[in-house]
Parts: sequence; structure tokens; C-alpha cells
Amino acid sequence: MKYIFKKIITLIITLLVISLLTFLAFQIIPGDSALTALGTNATKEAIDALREELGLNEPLFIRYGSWLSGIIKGDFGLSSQYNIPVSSLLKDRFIVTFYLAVIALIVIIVLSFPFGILTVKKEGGFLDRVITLICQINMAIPPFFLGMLITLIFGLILKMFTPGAYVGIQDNFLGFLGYLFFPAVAIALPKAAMLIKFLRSSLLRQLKLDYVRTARSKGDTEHQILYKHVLKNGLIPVITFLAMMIADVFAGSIMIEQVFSLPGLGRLLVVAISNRDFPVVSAIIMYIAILIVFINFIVDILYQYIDPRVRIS
Amino acid sequence: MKEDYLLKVNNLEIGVFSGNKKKNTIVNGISFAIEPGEMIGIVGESGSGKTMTALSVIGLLPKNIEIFNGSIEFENKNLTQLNEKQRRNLKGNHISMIFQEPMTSLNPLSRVGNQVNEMLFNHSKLNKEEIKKKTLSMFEEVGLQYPEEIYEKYPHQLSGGMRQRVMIAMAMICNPKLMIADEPTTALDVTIQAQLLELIKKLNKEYGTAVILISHDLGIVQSVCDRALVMHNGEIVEEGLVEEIFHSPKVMYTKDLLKAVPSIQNRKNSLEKKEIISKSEKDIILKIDKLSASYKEKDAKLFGRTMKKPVLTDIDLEIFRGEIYGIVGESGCGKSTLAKVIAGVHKEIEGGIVLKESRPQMVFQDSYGSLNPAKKVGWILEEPLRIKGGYTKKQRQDAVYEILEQVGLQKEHTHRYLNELSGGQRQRVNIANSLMLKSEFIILDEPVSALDVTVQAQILNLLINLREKYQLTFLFISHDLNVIGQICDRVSVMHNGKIIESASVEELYHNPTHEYSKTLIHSIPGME
Repeated sequence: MKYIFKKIITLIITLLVISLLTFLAFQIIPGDSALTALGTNATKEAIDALREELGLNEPLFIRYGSWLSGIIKGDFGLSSQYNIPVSSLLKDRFIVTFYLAVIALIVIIVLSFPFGILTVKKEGGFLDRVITLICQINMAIPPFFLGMLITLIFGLILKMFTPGAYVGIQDNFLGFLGYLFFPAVAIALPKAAMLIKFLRSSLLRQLKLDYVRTARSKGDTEHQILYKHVLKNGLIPVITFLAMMIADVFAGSIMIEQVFSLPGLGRLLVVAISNRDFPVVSAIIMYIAILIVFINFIVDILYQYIDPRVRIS
Repeated sequence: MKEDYLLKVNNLEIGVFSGNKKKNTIVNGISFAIEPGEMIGIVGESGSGKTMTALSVIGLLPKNIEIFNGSIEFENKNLTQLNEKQRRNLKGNHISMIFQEPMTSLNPLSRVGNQVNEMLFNHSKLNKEEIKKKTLSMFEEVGLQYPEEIYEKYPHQLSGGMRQRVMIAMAMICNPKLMIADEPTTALDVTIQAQLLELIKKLNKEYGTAVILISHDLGIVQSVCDRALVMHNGEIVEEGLVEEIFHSPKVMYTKDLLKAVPSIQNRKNSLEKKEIISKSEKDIILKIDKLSASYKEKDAKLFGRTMKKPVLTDIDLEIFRGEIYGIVGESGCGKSTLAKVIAGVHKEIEGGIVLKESRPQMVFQDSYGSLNPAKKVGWILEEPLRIKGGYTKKQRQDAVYEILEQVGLQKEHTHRYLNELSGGQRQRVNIANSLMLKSEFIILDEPVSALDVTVQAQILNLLINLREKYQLTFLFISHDLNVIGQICDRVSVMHNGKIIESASVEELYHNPTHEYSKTLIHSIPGME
């Protein structure tokens, strides 16, 4: 319990530091939000008025304070390009990225664990070599190209979905999920391939250890050895790897969203950066930071339960 | 001579297929037999094939290693012809095994109670309650106090000795007919070793379980076994009753092996040349007065303060020029910290330390890990001179050649990498390295503990010769009382960060005064 408390404190401090850095970064970057919002033809008075309205004339730390307290309340200010609250802008995009990530994650796990374990069981055999080769190919193909291949094969040739005809979540939930499935596969395949290889090497490393020999000396079957002894030990490094992957998936994929024209966070970020929409950019940065810090927090807690050696009395 | 053997190994040949189907044999057609309830020892140096022999009996040979030829008959069944399932049913149930490394031999993520239970799940029809009861009573049998508490523990929460007791409980719980113990006490302290050997002997008598005890340590085999096999290069070179083998060995190899075993009885005559040690006040090379040392340890709290954890307390020590001074003690007693303090590496100290040698050098146990494996020997040995500066390339090379010759290596070795040398050669490189700067005071931390006995004997001889040649003084740290007894002039016994007794070797080994020293001396296998 004390450990969790300590971790939460560290988590909060980390987030505060990140928020400060984000805030300062946008103060240093040249460019005036008011000017960008009003366009180059705006009068000086109009710009000054907007600056006043956006609070840009206040001292730095006061602006940081009000910005931070806004974030805590879920208020990221107004998007300078769309002129609507950032939070409502993000909410719609987030839902798309969220579902995309969840489906991708399911695909990753459904593919990687069975195949990872299979390669270990058949180590050195035909199946092992075939799976390893497929993984290699998957990792080598850039994601956008994989997205295009999927569009071509499943969209244009097999006609399993209509490329570009995005279905909104309000319109048809199942249609929405159906449309997200193929981009999710495009995100998942290279990551699943990595996870299979990682899991494979982690399990094989465990199989060489002394305690496995002890298990064999007890008359354990290979099945018992794999599922009762090796899997749990082999998962320890995999958890960290998987956590990084989860964070990556939830941060949104710029490439894939672009290829499948999905209105997700990744695309929003690209547009916001090119339009100097700083409230939106900083909100997305904070979202990604919170995501990563929080997932790491979960992993640390998880280790406490899985590995008794790091458990703190 | 009818079938009352428990195990009969016939013309067994084990090895690996290297490229183009060439056979590379590890075990070379050996035959031996064991009667029920017998306690037999297999001794031999590393690479002699003793472990492979044992693994083939229980059926745990690594995948790439095969049985080429011969048979292993267990209760008149040829094990090499059984299928996988039949073999599995024997493992643990009729033939069990304990291993050298009690730390890594248990699953780190599983409670030890469950790990022992698994044996019964595999081989008995008992229900959960009965299994737990049986495990607990077995824990008690192997001398684990508070079995209920141990049952719930994870391996890392137990000491090495306790873990090995858990392993023994696991190996004995199905009441097997044969237990193989592969170096079961090698990783443990000598007092724990004595207790565990006693335990194995007791279980052997009580349960009538035959035991194959594999060890590089002849003293252990001598003290617990009835019969012994001596293995060398994959062959059994001698076989017989323990008394015969140890008192009147027939084969040259066994004789050499016995001669190499360090012990106080084997002290070399050259050691008695006391004139090189002077005992006048001006020849004190190291004087330590009321020295304490501590480590910094961070509090587990969020903003916890660093606290001092004492490791050494009130150490007094005087070492004279030309002496080989031994420090003996069990793991965790602070002997390595003392070495670091004297070498000036560990600086958290209080108290007086006067060293009349600006740069004491160190030699460590791990001859491979303590040198850079990516560099050639010549480069490694030149490094101290390069750092000191003021030498030409030629001068450095000549210095290296000279030292190499002194430690029994040749010029050619400068072009080798560490992995191209044997363990003994590597330790010679380490010793050479410590001599490069012409230091007169060398600290040796377990310098021969990782070596085979014959190599050990060579290195000990080398040290004695080097001392005479260069007037060196050694501080020799070891857990091995036999090695200390053989080579040192005076010795201090350390326990819990204190020196509890200092005396000449003869005095300590024949009349230890402190209680702990007595236990330690009496734990030496083969010492009555």
C-alpha cells in the first residue's frame, strides 16, 4: 500500500514536470496564437483584444497556473483553428482512436500469444521457421504500405469494406467497428510480429534455466513445464514490452489514420501542428504523457503481484 | 552374481554429433553398478563426464547430447529403451536428483511448498490435504524449522542452505530408490555443507535410498560414501571402496589427484622457509587498527534518508613483509569488504589503516569476468604500464614477456583472447596483471575457488614461487579452510564482520580457541 502511495506521488510529480515543460515549450516557439487565429490581415487592435481575451498578456507563471487548473478540470481552452473547446474536439477524435486501439490490441494479443507459444513448442521445426519468416516480413513492411495493401486486398478486391467510407459511431456502431477492423489489423500486424519474436526468445531463454531442469527431474510433462513454470517467468520482460506497445497504440497512429481517412487523434495532431493550434497540440501531448506515465504505473504495480522478488515488504 | 543390482550401467557412451556426423564423445564406454541402498561417490575434475553420466541415468541429458551406445538398467529395465512417458514416471518417483545451484534450481515465482507438492501431484493419488501434510512432514524430516512458514515462502526468501534442504525434501518425498546429488554442497558454506552431508547420510540410512554423490571435492566423497568411482576424460579410471582409493590408489591419475588436494597435511616444505618473513616492527607492511567499515543503504521510504549499514567492526590486523596471510570466513562475513578497504576501493571507513605499499594489487575469483574479454592478453597486461606512463611500446612488451614467463605462460599467449585460455591460464594472466606494476603486496580474493584441484595445486605452487622470487606479501582470502591451511603462514577467522581469532595456521587448525573457529575446523570434510 505504501508502495502504491509512493508511486502515485512520483506519478503526480512526473506529470507536473511534463506539463511545465509542455507549457514552456509553447511559450518559446515563435508564433502568436492570436495572430494565427485572426489571420495576417487582422488589425492590431483586434489582435490585442484577442490576446487580452486569451490571457496572453498575463505573467508567465499566472498563465501556467490557470492553464494547469484548466487541465485538471478538463478544460484545455479553445482551439484556435476551430474556435470550439479543445475538450469537445478531442472527445470525438479520442473515441475513434480508442476503439481503433482496443481492436488492434485484441488482434495483437490473439495473434501473438498462441503463435509465440507455438514457435517455442516447435522450436527449430518447420512451423517455427514459417512463423518467424512471416513475422520478419511483417516487421519489415512500413505501416502505411501495409495499410495500402490491406485497402487494396480487402477493400478493392475482396470488397469486405469500402475504403474511405468512414461510418460514424452514432450512425451505426457495428458498421463503425467493422470499418475500424482493417486499420486496426494494419496497426496490429507489425506489433504482433514483434511480440511473437519477443515472447519466443523470452520463453526459450527461460527453458534453458536450471529450474526447468528441476521440473523435468520431477517428471513434469512438457505441457506442465511450459504452462506452470516457464510462461509466468517468461512474461516478466514481456509485460514491459507490451506496456510500451499499448501506450504506442493508444497514442494514435498518424499513418494509418491518414491512409484509412479516420478522424482520430493522430490526424488531428498533424492538422493542429501545421495550423499552430497550440491548445490542441498541448492537450494531445498531455494526453500521451498521462497515458505513458499511467501505463508505467500500472506495470510497476503489476510486477509487485507477479514477481515476489521485487515485492516490497 | 544374479540381478540384485539397482542400477547397472553397461558400456555407456555419450556425446554430441558435431558437423558431418562426426561423433564427439564425452563419456567413453563406462560400466558400473550400484546396489540398493548404497552410497557411491563419483569424483573427477570438470569435463570428466561425471555430470553427463548422472544426467543420462535420470534422463535429463540436454537435447543435443545423445547416448551413442550401451545400456542403463534400472531394476532390470533398460532405461534407454523406455518411451518418454515411461521415463517420466520414473523421474522423481524412483530416481530423483538434486543440483548444485540451490538458488536457480527452484522456480523463483512459485512458493516452495507448491514446488514440492508438484512431485506428489505427478506421482501419487493423494488429495490436496494429504499432499500438503506430507510435504510439511518432509520439511520437518530434512531439518527445516517452522515448516508451515517455509511452505509459504518463495525461494529468494530462504538462505542457500534452506533452499538446498527444500530440494532434498523434494527429491526424497516420493521415497525414490535412487537419488543423484550433483555437487549438492559446492555453493554452500562449509558449516552448512557439513550439516547437509549429515542429512543425506541420515536419509540414505533411514529410507534405504541409494545415493550417487557427484563431487569434485574428494574430502566430501571420502567422508560420506562407501564406494567411489574416479572419472577422467570420460572414463572410469579407478573404482573401489573409499578407504582403498584414498589410502592406496592404484592408478597414476588418482595418485596425482590426491596429491593435489589442498590440506594442512599437504603443506609444502618450501613453506617452512621462514627466513623470508621478518617479524620486526619496521617490516610491518600493513597495520590496521580498530577499523570499521559500512555501506550506505537507502531507506525504503519515499524521501528516506541514507543509513549506514556496518559491515566491519573493530578490525585489528598486522601483516609482515613476506608473509602469506589468510582470511577465512563464510559468505557474508565481510572478508571481501576487508579486501576492498585495504585496496582502497571501499572508502566508507573509520579507524586507522597504514599500508607501506602505495598500490596493492588484487586478484579475483572470477578469472574471466575480471578482465576485458574483448582485448587480447598482451593489451590487458600492458594496460597498467600504459596508464602509469613513461614506457615505450618495446619496454612494455618486454615487461609483459618477462612476467608471462614467471607465471608459466609463453609469449604466444599475448595474442590470445581470454576465452581461448583455460581457467588456470586465465588465473595466471590475472596474477601476471597484479605483478605488472611491481607491487609487493597482493590481495588475492578466492583466487583458486573456481579451479579444479590439480589446477588449484599448480596455482598455489606458482604463488609460493612468486613470493620467493619477488619478496611478495600476500593477503589470501578464502572460504576454503583446506586451501588456507596449505598455503598460509598466519590466518584470521572472520565472522559477522569481526575478526574472532588470529593465529598461526598450525595453532588454529590443531587448537582453535573460539567456539566458531572450532565449528569451522570440524566442518572440514575428511577432518576428524
